[in-house]
Amino acid sequence: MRERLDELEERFEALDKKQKIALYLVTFGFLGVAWFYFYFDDAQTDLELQEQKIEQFQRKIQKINFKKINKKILTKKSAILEEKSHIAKLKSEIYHMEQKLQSERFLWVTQKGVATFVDRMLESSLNQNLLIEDIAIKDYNATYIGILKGQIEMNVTAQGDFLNIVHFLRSMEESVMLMGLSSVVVETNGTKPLLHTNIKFYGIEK
Amino acid sequence: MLEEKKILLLEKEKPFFFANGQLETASYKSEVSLFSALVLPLNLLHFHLVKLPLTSSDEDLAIQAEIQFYKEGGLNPDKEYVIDYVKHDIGEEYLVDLFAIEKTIFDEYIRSFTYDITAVDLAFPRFISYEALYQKDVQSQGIELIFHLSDLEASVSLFSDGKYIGHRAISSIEIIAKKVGIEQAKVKELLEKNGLRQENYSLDDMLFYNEIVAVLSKDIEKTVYLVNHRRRFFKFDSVNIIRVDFNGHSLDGLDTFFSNFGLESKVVALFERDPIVPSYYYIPLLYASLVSHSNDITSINLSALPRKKSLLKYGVLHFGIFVFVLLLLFASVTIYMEYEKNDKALKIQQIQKRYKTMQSRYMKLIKAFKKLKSDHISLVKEAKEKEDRLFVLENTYNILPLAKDLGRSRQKFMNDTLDALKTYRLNVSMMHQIKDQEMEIIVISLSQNRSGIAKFIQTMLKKGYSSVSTRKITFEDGVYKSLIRIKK
Repeated sequence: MRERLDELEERFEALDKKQKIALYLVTFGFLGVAWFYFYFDDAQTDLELQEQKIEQFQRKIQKINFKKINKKILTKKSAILEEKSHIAKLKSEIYHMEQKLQSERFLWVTQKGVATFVDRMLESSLNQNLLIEDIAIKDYNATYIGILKGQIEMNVTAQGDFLNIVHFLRSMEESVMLMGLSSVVVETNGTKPLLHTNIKFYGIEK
Repeated sequence: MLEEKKILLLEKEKPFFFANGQLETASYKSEVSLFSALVLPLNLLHFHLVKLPLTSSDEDLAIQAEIQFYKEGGLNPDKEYVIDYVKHDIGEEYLVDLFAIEKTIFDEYIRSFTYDITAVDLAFPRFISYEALYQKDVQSQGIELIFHLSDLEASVSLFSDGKYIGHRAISSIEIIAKKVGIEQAKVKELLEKNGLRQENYSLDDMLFYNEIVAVLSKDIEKTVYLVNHRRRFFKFDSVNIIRVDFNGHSLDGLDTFFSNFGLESKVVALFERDPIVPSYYYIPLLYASLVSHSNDITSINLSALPRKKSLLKYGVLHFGIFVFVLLLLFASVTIYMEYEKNDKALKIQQIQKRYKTMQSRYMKLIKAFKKLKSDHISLVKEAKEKEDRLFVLENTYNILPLAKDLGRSRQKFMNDTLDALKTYRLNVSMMHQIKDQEMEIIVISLSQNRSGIAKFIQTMLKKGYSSVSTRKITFEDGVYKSLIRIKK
């Protein structure tokens, strides 16, 4: 072992100073370059990539703002509660209003009401000495005001004195049902005046 | 100089070193690490002298000189020698003094010591060590000859300006004694007591004197031969001083001998006064000290047992350590980078997991928020519908009195019209009332009463009807017909 070492030492010492420096430099350079080429460069790249990945995740994490979303959720929950409360109040008001409208239900047209109306109208025509020539009743469906809808339409043609016609019209308008004479035409051609009237009865949509 | 670095001088019985101003014996084992010097007896050495071209490098010079030493100097090619040389630049070429010792001889010599020697840093013939004198104790005076005579060996050596240029072995006291046939101690005693002056010898000793002179004369002759031989190469005229080292002292009457052989030089003792330690020890110690300091001194080292370098001084090990440290450095950085990579991979896993958890939680919240938003929109829509419904209901309810009053309103419209017609005695051929808002009537009047139509219109306007207009007025058979439109 020692002999081998001495042999190596002899060979080493046989080199002059410049050769020794060159050997040191070449060894350093070779090992350094080999290490750099086969390991360091790739490792450095790996580290940089890892660093980039970490930064990428950190940026993603930073974007996740729980405070903001929680605040938004709270705000929305609060808005929902407010809205629900508002709806409950509206429901209550609607119910109240429907109740109020319900209390006026005698105004709404019914079959029975129409029959009563026709009875009274005929009676009035007798009283006013009018000759009813035609009564036409038909269903009618048109919005009037709000939830009020025209539901039945009645066309009446009668002949009689003008003042009697006026009284006849007034007697019809005494009905408790919500109704209106949408058109009244009285015409005469040297004869007894002829009345054409269109009556609309209203109800509420359910 | 001797104080600066301890040198172990290896002598047969025991080693010596110089310390605290005096020569001290040492234990070899305890001082084995000291620089060790060994003076080799001349009779163990081989010498040769060659001339080589100036162009030779030191390496070539060594090889060529060695080859010639084997070829011409009588070395046995089958034996192993330690060879060293001293080169002299003599102008046109190198004069090379070669020295060699057979390794087995060296080993035997070492083994003859009373203690085991493990390393000899410097092994040299004594004559070369005199060069150390010129570095420390003596001012060189050009060409000088040193005459050394001691019990076991003797030599003459030439120095030019303090540099060794040649030597010759001469008879030691031991040899003289053998040749003369008396005891060595007797020869030494006679020389110390009487020197070489004939008049100092008694009649009884005269025989010995003559014998000693006969032996020494041959040595002086050899010395003169040496001087003449070297004179040719180093081109000097004469030897300026002959210094005598006979146990550190001069040898009385030696100048006469040299003078007889043509060397008219001044003969002096090696030292003007006694050195601090005997010259026998002092000069080799001083020489070894100077050589070990790598001073500008001629060095001959014939050690066949060089000190093995400490492992710490091995250049190849330094290089190995350098490579190891380099690898260690790279390995450290590699380990650190791998650690960083693993750490980052772990971080990525953690952050990825955290992100997924957060994202999942966030998406749930987003979903919840979207549902809430959708619920809210539905509620707003529902509220709007309710509001509309309520509005309609309220309107309906509020309009009821008015609706109930439609009949009276129509009747009033008709009554107003009929009153006005009656007032202005106007007849009507047609009356068309549309709800309680508008009425068209065709009025008939006699011509003398036609102003009644205008008055009728005026009256209706006064009653608050917004528009009362007439058109299609016709006059036929003394009767006016006029269509009047009244708007509420």
